[in-house]
Amino acid sequence: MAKWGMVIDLEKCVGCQACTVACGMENTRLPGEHWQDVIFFQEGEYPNTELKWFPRPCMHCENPSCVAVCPVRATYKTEEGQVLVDWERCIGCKYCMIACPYGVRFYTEEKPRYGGPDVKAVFKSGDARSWDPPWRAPQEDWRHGVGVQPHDVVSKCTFCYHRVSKAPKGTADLDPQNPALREFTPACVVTCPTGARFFGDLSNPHSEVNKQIAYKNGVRLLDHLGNKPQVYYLTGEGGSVPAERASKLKV
Amino acid sequence: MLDAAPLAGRDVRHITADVPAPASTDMSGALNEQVFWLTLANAFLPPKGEAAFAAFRDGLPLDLAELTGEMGLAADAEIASLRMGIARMSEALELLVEYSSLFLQPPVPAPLNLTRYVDGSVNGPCLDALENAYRLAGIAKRDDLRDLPDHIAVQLETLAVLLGEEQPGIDARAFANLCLVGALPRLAAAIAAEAPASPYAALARLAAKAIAGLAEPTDSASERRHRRAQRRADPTLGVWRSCDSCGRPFAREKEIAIMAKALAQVGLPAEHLARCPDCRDAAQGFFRRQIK
Ligand code: SF4
Ligand code: SF4
Ligand code: SF4
Repeated sequence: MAKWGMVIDLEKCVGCQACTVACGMENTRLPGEHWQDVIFFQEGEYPNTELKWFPRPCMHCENPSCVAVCPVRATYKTEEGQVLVDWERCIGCKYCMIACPYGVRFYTEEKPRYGGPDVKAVFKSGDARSWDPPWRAPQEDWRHGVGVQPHDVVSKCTFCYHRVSKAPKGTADLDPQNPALREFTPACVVTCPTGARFFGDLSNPHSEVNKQIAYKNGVRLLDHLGNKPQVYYLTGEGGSVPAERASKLKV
Repeated sequence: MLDAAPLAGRDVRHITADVPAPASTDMSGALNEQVFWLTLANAFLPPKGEAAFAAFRDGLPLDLAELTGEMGLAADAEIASLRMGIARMSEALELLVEYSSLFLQPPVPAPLNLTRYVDGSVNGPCLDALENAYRLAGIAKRDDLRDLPDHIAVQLETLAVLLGEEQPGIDARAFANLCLVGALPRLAAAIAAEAPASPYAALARLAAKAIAGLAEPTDSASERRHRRAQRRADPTLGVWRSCDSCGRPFAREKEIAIMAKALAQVGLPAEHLARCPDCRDAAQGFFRRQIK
C-alpha cells in the first residue's frame, strides 16, 4: 500500500501560482477558493526586507486535526494517506476548518474572497451542486470530495484523488515527465513549470520523494504541532522558507 | 393504450418493467391518475416491435388526451407535439433508434435513471432515499428488470401503485418529491436540448407538467438544510468564542471545548483555536496575493 506524499522544492518555486490555477481548473474550484495557494511573507526589517513565498496545499497529515474533530466522520484518512471529505456525510459544521492549523479548508457558503461577483449566484445550480460552472471537469465523486460540491459542506485539496487512486499499484513516483504516469499525477505537479513539485510513495525507500527529503533535508510546516504532514519542503540555502521558519512557526 | 389489463388484477407487489394499464375508460379521478402514470411509465420503456410502435402512434395520444382531460390537466400542446413527433416516423425501427440515441447510447444525452438529475451522479443519496422508499412501500424490483430502481418507468409505476393504496407505506406525494418532482423537468430539458421535435420531448414535458401538481409547496430538504445552516451560524444562539485577532465570533465555546478535547485525545494542541481561521495567516505574517 502506497503512502502518498508531496515534496515542494522552494529553491525551484518561483511563486508563479501555476499550481494554484491548475488545481482550480482540475478541481472546478470557485474563484478565490484555492485548495492550494502560494503564501507570501516578508523576511527581515525595513528597509532590508525580502519577499518570500511557499505553496500550501493540504498537508494530508498523518495525524490530522480535521479528522480528530469531525463529529460525523465525514473527514477521513484513506489507506493510501489522502485526507478526504465525504460530501454525502458532511454537515457543514466547520469544526475541521477551525481545527486545521494549516488553513487549507473552505466552506461552500462563505462569501467570495477574491473581490469579484459571487459566481454561485451568477451560475446558479438547478441540482444538488452548489453552483453550475460554465465548464467543469468531468470527474465527480462526492464520497471522496471530488467535483463540484453540494451546498453547506467543506472542501479541500484531495491530493488529486481522482488521478492518483488510478495509478498502477506499486508505483514509487508519479513523475509528470513519464508519459505513462502523467495522467495519474496531481495537476499541480504536472503543471509546475520549474519542476518544483514531486509526488510519490513515502513508504517506498527508493522513491524520489524519499531521496529528496533525505538528501535535501526536507522539513514539514509547523512540525512542532505533531500533525506530521505528508507534504515536505526543501528549503536549501536560498530557499524561500528558511527551515526553522517552516518548522517553528507559531499559530 | 399501450397494453391493456386491469390494474386491480395486480396481485404481486413487484414493480415490473412492463406494467399493464386498464382498458376501461369508465374510471374515477384517482384511477385516472394512476392509469395516466402507468401509461407514461410504459411509454418510457424501449418501444420494441411493431405492436409497441402502433400503440405509441395510434393509441397513446388518444389515451393521454382522454386521461388528462379527465384529470383537468391542460395538455393540448404536449399531446399535439407528441402527435407531430410520432407522425414523422414511418416504422417501428425509427422510434427505437430515437429511443436508443436519447436514452441508451453513450454518452447518454438524457438518462432515464432520474437520480442523475438530482445527485449529479449515479448511486448518490437520492438513490438511497428511493430504495428506502421502496422498502417502506413493500415494493421490490422484478428480477428480470435489468435497471436501477431509479429508472423512470419504475418510479412512475410505483407512484401509480402508491396513489391507489389506501394506507401506503409511503405517501405518494412524499415519494414523488424524493426524485420525480426535481428530475422530470430536467429530463424534459435534456431531451429538448437534444431532440426538441422528438415524441419523447413531448412526453417528458407532459410528465413534468403533471408531476408539478404533486410538488411539496414548502420545507424541501434543501430549505431544511439551509435553515439548519442558518441556525448554526446564528450568533445570538449560545455562547460564542470571539477571535483573539479580529474579535469576531467564530464558534461556540461548547464547540471549541469539544474540539479541544478531541485534539487532546490524539495528542494535538488546541492553542490555535484562540483565533478564527481567517486571522491565523496574518498572525504569522503571511498573506495571499490575488490572482488576476
Ligand atoms: S492540513 Fe489541515 S485539512 Fe489537511 S490533513 Fe492536516 S489538519 Fe486536515
Ligand atoms: S464540516 Fe463536515 S467534514 Fe468538517 S467537521 Fe463538520 S461534518 Fe466533518
Ligand atoms: S494535489 Fe490536486 S487537489 Fe491538491 S493542490 Fe495539487 S492539484 Fe490541487
